[in-house]
Amino acid sequence: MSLDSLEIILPGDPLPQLSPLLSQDPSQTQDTKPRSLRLGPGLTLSPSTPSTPILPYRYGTLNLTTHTKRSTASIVSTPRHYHPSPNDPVLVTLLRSTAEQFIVQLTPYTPPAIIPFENYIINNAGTTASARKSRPNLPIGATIYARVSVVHKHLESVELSVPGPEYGEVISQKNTSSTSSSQKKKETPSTAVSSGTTGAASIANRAEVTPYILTTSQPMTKLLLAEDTLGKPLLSAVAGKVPFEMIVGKNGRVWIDATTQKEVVKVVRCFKEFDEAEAWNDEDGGLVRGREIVGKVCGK
Amino acid sequence: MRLQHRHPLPPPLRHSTMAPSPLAPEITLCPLPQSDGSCQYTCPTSRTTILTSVNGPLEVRPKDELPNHATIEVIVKPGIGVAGVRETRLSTLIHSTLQSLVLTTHHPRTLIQIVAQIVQAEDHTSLPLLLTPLLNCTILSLLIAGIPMRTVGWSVHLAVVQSVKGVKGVEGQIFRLEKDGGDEMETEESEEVVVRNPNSATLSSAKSSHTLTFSKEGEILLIESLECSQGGGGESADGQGWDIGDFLKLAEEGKRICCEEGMEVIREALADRKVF
Repeated sequence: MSLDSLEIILPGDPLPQLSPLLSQDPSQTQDTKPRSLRLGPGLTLSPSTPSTPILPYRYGTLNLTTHTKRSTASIVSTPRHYHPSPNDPVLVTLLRSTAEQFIVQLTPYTPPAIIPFENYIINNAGTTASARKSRPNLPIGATIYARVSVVHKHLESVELSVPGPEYGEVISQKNTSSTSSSQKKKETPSTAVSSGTTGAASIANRAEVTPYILTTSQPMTKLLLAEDTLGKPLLSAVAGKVPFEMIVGKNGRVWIDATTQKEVVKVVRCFKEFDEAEAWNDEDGGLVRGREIVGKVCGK
Repeated sequence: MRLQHRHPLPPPLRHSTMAPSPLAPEITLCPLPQSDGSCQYTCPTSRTTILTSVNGPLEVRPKDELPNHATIEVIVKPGIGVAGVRETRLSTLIHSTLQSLVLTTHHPRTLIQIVAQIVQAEDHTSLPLLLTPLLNCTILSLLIAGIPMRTVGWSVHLAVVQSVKGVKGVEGQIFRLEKDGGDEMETEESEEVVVRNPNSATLSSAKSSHTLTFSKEGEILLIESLECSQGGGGESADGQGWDIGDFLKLAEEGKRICCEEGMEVIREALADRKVF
């Protein structure tokens, strides 16, 4: 995803770029494989559009992925609020559980989402939580790392799923050290490299560490998710000072854990100040200001 | 669908970062940090300033809930005093225009709330002076908020003035309607002229006032025409104070302004914002 001087697309603009991907004319294309285009957020089908049947309905830039098996087109834009779309990784909070499902909070401004127990896979063998025995006993307020599975505008609530053991309840190392050491975490490569202290030594003195859940703006979330491109300046600057772990949910929640509480707070402050200063809007992608903030918070 | 220039019109405006055109509005995007999309718009000539905020999709009150559509709510807050019939009229006009722009089927059973505050106006009682800034500002806020829209629109206010004398305007604001006979009439002092986005003083001497809204594709979304009491109203064939031939030419010019200059203004305003 490149950001440099892409043309802004307004709702209703014709998209001639997509025409070659849709052409059914066999004389134009040499290969005979069927062509299909997946429409991502921001694009919809509309038979009345003059040039292509695809109508952009939000402003933004066109993001076209053609190198994958199925080409995908979407409109990249940053709305202020999170709108769930299928396959988004999200961090949710358990509100209550009923006989068939967990009821969770996806965002504070939408009605609660649900995780049906048959979508909650607890181990690699594919056992679901639908049996009473295998049901995880989660406390209310537990943080669950899940994926969005069904979003339908006519349905009451968004359905989430836990597709494997790498998802599920997010437990800090403090708790896992005594019970199981299953790592349900999405570690960023940049932090994994920098964290020199690992293993028993770091876990031993973690008794008082509570992980932090930070609420971030949508641009900030996208920046943290794009760890190799957009987020690299900030993440490597922070990871250079403090080793930490994080899980980013697309719904604007970031789970942050480190070896000491002080370090958790430092990381949180770096991200928070970066976000509040809207440094992601800078010309250089927040490189200079990110370094300034990290230097201020973590010391030289 | 682009409109062809058949008339020798003033050259199209070129907006550059160095010297902003005197007819380009002043636009501030996202002045309200807590709303989903907000915009402040200042009309370049009449200095009418509008601040709008868009929130949505939100939870809707049960009595307003539509099973297959989003409910659009437009609230116009006056600059002075409490909201009355005038504000209700303005919000109805905005609502009906937006109804054809917003894809309400994308978020059924939700609410899209638009609040427009009149910050500054020369004449707080004049509907035509307020309507164009309100519409343009609202459309920009909707874009920022990411509300699904079929297309975008732009509004322009044109006033027909009996004589060019006494009308002060910036370059490009005043133009003549082409007569069928050719160019020979153009030098006459008594010929009526069209003033774009007139201010209160110009509007008071106008023959008629037309607020036109066009979509990017050239569909007409709103026509609000008024016969003004001053000027030589009531002389036309349809008895409405303006000649239908003139009106059609005026509409064509309005379409050109909306489809070309308006869209350029929107694109320029949004180009500064970074998207991820």
